[in-house]
Amino acid sequence: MRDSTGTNWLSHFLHGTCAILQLQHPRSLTGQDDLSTQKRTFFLTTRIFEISRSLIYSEPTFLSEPVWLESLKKLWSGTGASLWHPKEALFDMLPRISALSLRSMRFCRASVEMPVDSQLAEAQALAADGLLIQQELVRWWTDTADWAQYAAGKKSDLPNGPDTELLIAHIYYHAISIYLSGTYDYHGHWVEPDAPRAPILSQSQIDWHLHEILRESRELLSYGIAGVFLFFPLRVAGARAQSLYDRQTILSFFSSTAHRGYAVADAFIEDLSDLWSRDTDFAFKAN
Amino acid sequence: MRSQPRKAAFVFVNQPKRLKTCSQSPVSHSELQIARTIAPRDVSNDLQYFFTSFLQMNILADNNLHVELDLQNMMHGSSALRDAIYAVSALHRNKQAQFLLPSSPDCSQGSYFALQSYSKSVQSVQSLIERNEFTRDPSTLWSTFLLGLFEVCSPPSICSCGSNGNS
Repeated sequence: MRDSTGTNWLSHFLHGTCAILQLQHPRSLTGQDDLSTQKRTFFLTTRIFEISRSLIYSEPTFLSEPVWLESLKKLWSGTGASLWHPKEALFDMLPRISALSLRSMRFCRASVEMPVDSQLAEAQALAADGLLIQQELVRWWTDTADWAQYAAGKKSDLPNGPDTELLIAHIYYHAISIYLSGTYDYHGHWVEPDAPRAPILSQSQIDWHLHEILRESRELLSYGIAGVFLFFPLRVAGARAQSLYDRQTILSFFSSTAHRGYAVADAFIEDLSDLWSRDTDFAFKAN
Repeated sequence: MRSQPRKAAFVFVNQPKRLKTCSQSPVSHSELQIARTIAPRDVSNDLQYFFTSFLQMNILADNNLHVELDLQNMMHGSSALRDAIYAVSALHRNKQAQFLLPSSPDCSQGSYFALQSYSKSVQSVQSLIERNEFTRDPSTLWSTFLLGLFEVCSPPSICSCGSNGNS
């Protein structure tokens, strides 16, 4: 997506931060000194923005490099075990989905010059990888439901507020499920008759994920969550929203975010309005 | 992964166009008027606003507890971080004031201070990059993050969010 000035604002948003973050050694994630602890807090708080940048703009992220993936595994099994939350497990998966989406895009561009049997082989391989990740996502969803019940039971004697971390995890689960389906369902290689089976969601499944994104966005905004967390899920929802009500709801959330200080939310409003205006069945004009 | 940080050869955060113009050409009469009429700002208000209002409206992590403690600890030793906090705080306060009191005369002064703090923070971070001293200090990570946040909170005319010489 691009804003009205043609600038990839989100790509720029973390450019400086990610440039410096990349220069940190992954082992700083598992260090136990004060500096490493502070770097770790920063990393875990802000990595979702680098991941969102990668997903929205279909660009590679250093977070999918093996050295970072290994360092995270080491963190959760060692010094960072007390920091673990299902949200972190989901965020660990997202760079791989971004990398898969990039592979798929490159294949779609290159396929026109490939022999038919090579096209089919690559389409099958990509579909198989997508199905594996989809299974992981579904397993995460059911495991997280069990974890949430267990955690709620343990906390029953203590005053506690909403688990905003869990809400954020849920909203990204719904968004990435739609995103993963979109990696395939926009392309003929996986939707034509006799195409390889791919992790493509039905319309009713997409609708469910979309409405959960809207419901949880409302909840997170009421809890004061930073609006930038919602840009990726709402943008994904916007790409699939068909009804006027859903579209107006999405725009209202972006407007709310803009009122809270994020002027750049206006770029999303403009981007979605442009997308929807190209939909001849549902011409829509933003206020 | 690299064992030594590479020497930075890029400006990764642009200076805002308005302040760039001020530094490259004679200051205009109107800009002098604004500078003369601006009373010294009590930055303790901006600091308090950042932690008690801005972060509460922009929760970045569960309860924000570790984030707040880290920022409070780090900012004492980092002018880049302090100025980035002042910039974000002043900008946000100004926006809220504009929303609630559109005709308030303090808005232009608030914008000026926000941009000034942003520029000072950018210069501090750039200096750390040029001296290759940015990788050791986690406050630089938060400084650049807050500077990025400042840019996405600003209208496009205030900050240049375009290409900056590095892909």
